[in-house]
Amino acid sequence: MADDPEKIPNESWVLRRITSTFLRPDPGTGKRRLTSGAFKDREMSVDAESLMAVHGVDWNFSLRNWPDAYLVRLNAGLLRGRAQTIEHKPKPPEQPDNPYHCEVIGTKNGSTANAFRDAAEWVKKPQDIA
Amino acid sequence: MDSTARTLSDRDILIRGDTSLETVATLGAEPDEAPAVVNLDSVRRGKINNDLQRWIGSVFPAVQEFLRLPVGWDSYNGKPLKLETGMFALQLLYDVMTPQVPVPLVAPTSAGGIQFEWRRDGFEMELCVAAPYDCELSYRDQQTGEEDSLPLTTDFSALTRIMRKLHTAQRLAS
Repeated sequence: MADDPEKIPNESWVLRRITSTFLRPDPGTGKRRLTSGAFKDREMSVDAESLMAVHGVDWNFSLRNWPDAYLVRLNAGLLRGRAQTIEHKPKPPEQPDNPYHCEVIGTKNGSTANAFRDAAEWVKKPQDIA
Repeated sequence: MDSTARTLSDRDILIRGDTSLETVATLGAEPDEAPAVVNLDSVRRGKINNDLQRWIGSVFPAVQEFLRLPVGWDSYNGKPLKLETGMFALQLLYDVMTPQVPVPLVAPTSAGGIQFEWRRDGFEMELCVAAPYDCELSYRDQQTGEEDSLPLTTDFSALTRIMRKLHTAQRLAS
């Protein structure tokens, strides 16, 4: 499969879970902050909101099996602007109940991962984040 | 860390109990020399360098935590930190940490690596260790707009050079 801007247009958003391990205490401030390590996978799993909307499903679906995780939203156009493709890969082996699963594919160097971290919008936000 | 660089093997790393690690990583050793030994049990007690007390207390527990992460810890396919990668990262940090260098934020990566992040006065710097001799250094100066990502494999001189920029940013702000 290849990039699918028709099903996942640039103005749409994808969702990525953030577990607490990615929220690290900053020695400078003492507060936890989101590390760019959450956005470095060459094949980064996400759920496409545009696909979920077709079935009337909202972001709660992405947390169905991970109630303790947090959630961020990333703009598809921003991802593509950083030389990434967004491929619809429904029902991967570890999530056979997820028809909305996609992979954001491409090399993510430190600058790219930092850009994604800075642009990520919290959907479910931890209370003590910097 | 140039022609002497080599991949760590299992023989290089000993686990002593659950809080002490010992490595014979040869980051600076000549090929014919006995390998440098960094006994982290001693490191934790600050016997080798008093400055270690300042940062090892937050870095070492994080490394231990990441070594014990379960597969899938990130709710996807996240892997735990590999032991040799953790040891290599500690050795790198040991080489660059001076009293002028702030304590870094320490974080895992989903692929089994580790990264150190520094943020001071508009200057951000990040050292990601994916595996021994497979690292990346990223930095961004918010005042000048300068930013870059540099692969580090055998020549780690850029790490010292960019670390100086962090010092400069701190000095200018103080």
